[in-house]
Amino acid sequence: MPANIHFRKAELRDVPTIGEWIEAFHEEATPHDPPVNGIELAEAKIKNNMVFVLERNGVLVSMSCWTRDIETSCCVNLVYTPKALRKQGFASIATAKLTQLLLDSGKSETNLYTDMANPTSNKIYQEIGYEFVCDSIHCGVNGPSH
Amino acid sequence: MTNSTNVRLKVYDDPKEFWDEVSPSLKAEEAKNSLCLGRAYVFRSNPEGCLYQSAIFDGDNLLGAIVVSRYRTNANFLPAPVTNPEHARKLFESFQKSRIAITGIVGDLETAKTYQKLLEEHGFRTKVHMRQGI
Repeated sequence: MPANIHFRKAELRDVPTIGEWIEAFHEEATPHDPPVNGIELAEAKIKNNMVFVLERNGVLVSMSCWTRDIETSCCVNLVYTPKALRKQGFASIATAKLTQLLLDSGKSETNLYTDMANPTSNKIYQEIGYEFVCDSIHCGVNGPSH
Repeated sequence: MTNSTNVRLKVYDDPKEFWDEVSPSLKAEEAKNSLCLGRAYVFRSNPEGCLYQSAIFDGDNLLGAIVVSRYRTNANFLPAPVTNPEHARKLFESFQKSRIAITGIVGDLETAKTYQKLLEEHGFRTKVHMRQGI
């Protein structure tokens, strides 16, 4: 990792940026879901030590988060780099660093959901060491009223 | 082959009981069941957002399970893989009695499609929002 790149746990001073990134992530990745309040979510996740950031020369350039802790494993999610900063390997570093940190903390495995239509993220995750387990779908349901 | 007389379906009122009885089997495929397990783990200590949990067993062997979880304004149906479509049908028809309105299904492709078919048989409309890999 270049010397001017630093990986660290997010702090409350990062809430405005992380909040904006969480909203941008959801607009891009899960537009079918109800909108999120990024600031509220950022504050809650940072307080629970679930957000990590990558800085370049002291400026935030990418984030990775984790969730669904079941003691033996957990899920890496909300991997996000602003569009203007992409294709420089930041998301790859942020994901790899967080994954290693989680494994070092005692998890026997970590998992993540990836958009099958996004070859870039799939390639990054496999290079880090993630293995494909199965396909998954999210279906919207509208039904007869009860 | 499963002897149907040994098959029992259980609807849980206590998320801790669901975790204790169902999670050991689901952990055999931890990544594949991560959504179902992740929500069930949280519900043990904080049941807010837990709308429904059920499982079907042959003796002590788990044949299938369902968690329905509130996610913001959504109510997501999170199925664990079932051993055959008839067990899915039993779980689904029992869930229907709860009259809980779901807004989505998230699960591994084969399992989600099994329940998608059941929903459509019962007059629901479904639309694939997203294909993902785990």
